[in-house]
Amino acid sequence: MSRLRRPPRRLPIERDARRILVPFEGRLDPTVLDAAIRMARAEHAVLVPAYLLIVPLSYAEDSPLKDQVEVAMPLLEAVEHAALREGVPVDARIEKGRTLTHALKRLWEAEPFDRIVAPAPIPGAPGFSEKQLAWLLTHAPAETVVLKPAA
Amino acid sequence: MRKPGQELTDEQQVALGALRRLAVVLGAHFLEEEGNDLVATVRRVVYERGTTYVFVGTPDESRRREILRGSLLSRLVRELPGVDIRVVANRADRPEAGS
Repeated sequence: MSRLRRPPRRLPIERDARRILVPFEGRLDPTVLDAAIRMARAEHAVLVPAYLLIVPLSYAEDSPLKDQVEVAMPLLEAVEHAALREGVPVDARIEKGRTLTHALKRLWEAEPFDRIVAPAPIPGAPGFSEKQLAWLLTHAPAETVVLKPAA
Repeated sequence: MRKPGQELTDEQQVALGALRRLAVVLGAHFLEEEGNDLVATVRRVVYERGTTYVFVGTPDESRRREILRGSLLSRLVRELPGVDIRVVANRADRPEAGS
């Protein structure tokens, strides 16, 4: 009977596997991504890269954001490939909010995470500000690691 | 589609919630339908809503099921004459994804 089964098409996600959230906006620095992948592999965890979208106040909160999704999808795909090369299963997300912290809050209110890996600010680049990181460290419902991208 | 009365596990509920939220971001309508047979349910929704294009993922079917019931894709093609069907590959299966 087992000979009739095809191999699974994606890496199996173990039941009750730990989930590591990696929220980002813009691009995800390779140093941060590599570190998150190493953590996920060491903990046999699922990597949850989450692209955070900002809904401008001039738009209704439930407005579709197709242009931003077109940017997010290839980035998430690249993250997924990098993780799969290392044997780490991925469960990507796109979440939106009025601010990055609003989007993050919505995400962890909707599903549980065991660890959060956030990139530290890069001057002049999109992503978390120092103030937002301070909020994240104060309010995150899970152990949180802030990683400084390579200089 | 879910079978009538089927209870979802916590993991399935999380995954379904994520899909719902993604549909909102994309401006898509998210439908949840009950049924015992995927092809029959898709066929019903297609004709109720006048759909002309159906996207499906790559089915993870056993050879046994294919032999006994016919493949899901060939059944969809047979049951949906005049409707375009596009199979979207799992990006992780691409050679550059490696493993």
